[in-house]
Amino acid sequence: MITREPQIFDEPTNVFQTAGRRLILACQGTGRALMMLLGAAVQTPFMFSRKNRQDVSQQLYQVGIKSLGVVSVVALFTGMILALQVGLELRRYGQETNIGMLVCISMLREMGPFMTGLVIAASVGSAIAAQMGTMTVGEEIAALDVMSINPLRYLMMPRLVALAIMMPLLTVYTNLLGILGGAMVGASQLGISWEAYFDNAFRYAENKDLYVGLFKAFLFGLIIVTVACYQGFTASEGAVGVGRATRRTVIVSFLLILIVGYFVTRLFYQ
Amino acid sequence: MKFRKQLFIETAVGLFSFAVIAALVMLTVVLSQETLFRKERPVEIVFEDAMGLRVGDAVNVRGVNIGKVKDIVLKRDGVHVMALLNNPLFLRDDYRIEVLSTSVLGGRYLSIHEGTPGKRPMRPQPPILQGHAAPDLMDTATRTIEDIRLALNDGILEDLKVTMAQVRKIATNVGEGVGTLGKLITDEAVYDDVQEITANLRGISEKLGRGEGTLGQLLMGDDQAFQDLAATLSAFREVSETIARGEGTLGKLITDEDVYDELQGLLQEGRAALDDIRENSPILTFTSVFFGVF
Amino acid sequence: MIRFEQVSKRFGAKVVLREIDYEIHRGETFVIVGTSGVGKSVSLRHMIRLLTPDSGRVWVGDDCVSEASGKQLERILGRFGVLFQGAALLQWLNVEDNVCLPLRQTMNLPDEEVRARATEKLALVGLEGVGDKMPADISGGMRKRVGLARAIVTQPEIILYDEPTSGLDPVISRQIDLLIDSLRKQLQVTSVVVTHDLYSALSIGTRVAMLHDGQFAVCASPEEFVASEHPVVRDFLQAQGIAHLDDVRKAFGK
Repeated sequence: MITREPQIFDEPTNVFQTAGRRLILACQGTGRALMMLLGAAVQTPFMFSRKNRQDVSQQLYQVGIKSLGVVSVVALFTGMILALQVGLELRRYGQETNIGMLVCISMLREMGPFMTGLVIAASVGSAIAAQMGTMTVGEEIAALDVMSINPLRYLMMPRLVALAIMMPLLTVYTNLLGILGGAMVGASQLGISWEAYFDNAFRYAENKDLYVGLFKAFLFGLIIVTVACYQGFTASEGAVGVGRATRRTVIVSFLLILIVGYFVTRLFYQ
Repeated sequence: MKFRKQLFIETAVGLFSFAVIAALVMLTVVLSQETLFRKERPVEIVFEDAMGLRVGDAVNVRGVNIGKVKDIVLKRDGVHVMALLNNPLFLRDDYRIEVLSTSVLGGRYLSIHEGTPGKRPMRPQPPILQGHAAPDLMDTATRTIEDIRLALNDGILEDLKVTMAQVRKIATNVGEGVGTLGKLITDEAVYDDVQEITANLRGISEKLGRGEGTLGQLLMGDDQAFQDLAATLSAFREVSETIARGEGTLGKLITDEDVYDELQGLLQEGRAALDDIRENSPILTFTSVFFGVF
Repeated sequence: MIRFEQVSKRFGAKVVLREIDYEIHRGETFVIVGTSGVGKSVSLRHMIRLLTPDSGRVWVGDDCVSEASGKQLERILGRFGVLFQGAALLQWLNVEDNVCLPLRQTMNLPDEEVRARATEKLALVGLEGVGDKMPADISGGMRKRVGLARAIVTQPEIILYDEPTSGLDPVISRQIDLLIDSLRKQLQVTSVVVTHDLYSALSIGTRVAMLHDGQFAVCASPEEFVASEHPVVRDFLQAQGIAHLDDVRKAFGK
């Protein structure tokens, strides 16, 4: 059962007690969130079952197609900003022809998955947290539990599948649009022809850059869905609690995306 | 109604996924530098030192890009560079393959010089080509500067030093009112000489001023010489300007015959020294520009 | 059928249940009344494991629900149908799909049968032809009835009602009460109702229990309950203007 009874503690008497309790609760929360992820992950074989496939496709649509607009804008402008900033600086050394390489590599390795992660965390993650939070507060999760409908399977698994699949796909899309944005700036502002830009862009980038980036995006997807569902399922105290869950989801996902992004980079690019 | 909506959702998701996966496949192909529809010719070149060549760097033949570096492997007999070329190579016996810098700031490319057009083409082409170490730009520059410094220390600096000491002596004499400067004014040739030397010296001194101690750094080895030069220049300018204006009590100076002779001789010597410096001025200019960077 | 054995529960410093002991028999309608925040819903939630006791046990039939887990817990919960306070309908499913939800998700029945059952239960709670409506588009009373239809669609032995009439106007409240009563008669189920509305408690209950200070102040038939001399019960009855059981019956038009 996902529904838990509220934990009520005595007022802490000193700083150490407060700190200790915070630490224990943080460990508890992390553990529970990971157990939820695991619980939803073992349900993924049911994604094509009659009971779940409709929800899965619904979530794929919500995450993938409905986010395309904002992702497009973010991706295009990320590429354009990268190209402009780096291009203007490189021009001082007469090296502006290399923006293709710089935009391409930074999009593939870092900016693509990172920007997609942030956009999806802010839009889809917060929406999941708000929805799950409202359901928790409105006893709908409890109702599912009592009806022996596992919320991890019925609610979390479709979202997990959707984010795990759509994050890498959206990242590919972001990468392409970002590189395109860089080319637009290159052609219009820095006087670099499209051919020269793309030749330079794809000359130094490797498949490793692309796929490590997509792996990152996949991890970011797991992070977002886990944080959002955890925050949603543990929301309490009505509307205020839902707001808190939403805010925490965005903050915690952002932080985890940054931190995990750094360590994945370290792992693959020593 | 509901069924149709579900159908639309599934179609949209499927379409997007297919489009992106297709893009992913294309991107993968592009990034693996595979050219599906073009024949590529692999070439292996062994270098003693790859000099920072990277996978993906361009391969140029006479300045035209014809391919990319595919792989670089360090082996016992050197660095083996595998390159993929779009065009066939027609190498001759005296072909030369080098790693060159694209700019002072970095970046390398593989330069293939196929050989002198008149020579006999190599046939069959050897399986592994020999690459040559190209002179590094920074190394060359450093060596050039070292040469300049040695040259200055050897002869020119010494010449300059001696000349300047003598010129100063005369100038001081003239300034103090000793000697027969009156003759200088009557003698057109000597007057012109003085003018010319003055102009030359002024030019050099101005260059020195602009170069912000550049030549000074080169002359650091001999502080005295530099100070001599500076002092002489100011004294000389003063006198020459006075002469040019045609004023002052120069009559006083027209007494000593010896001074006149000495001065004339020394002026010639001074001119020779200045000519020496002028000959070397391209080097000096280069040096000052070079050090100006730092 | 359901037995509380020395059950204690406290939230922080607040003691909600104090070594409570009672049994609900098969086929009866057991009503728990009390003022707000006294722990009525807490005792209800112990029966379906949304809460576990600090000490003591809760039995459902021969199973200890407070210690069950996994399949056993699932089996126990399968005997219950629960109407939550806010009906707890899923907002993105229409009325029919909400009612079908437990059948679709927990049983492998053909879709026609699922729909047939849902239509049947919706008719039972007096909601025909609203299957296509979304929960947000219907009134609170209708939502409760949809929740009830969903609770009974799995044909449970025990139905729990958490404040079934709260937030509804008196007319609709009486309709819900009549519905609960008729369901008990038609489906032969055991019902547990938590309410602070004495009118509905006394009209539908076969036994009424007054929870006060973590204990049952009174636990008796409606007649005995009204006649009780316990000061808390008297205050409660007075506050709702009930002096005699006839007042309640009059209100129901019996």
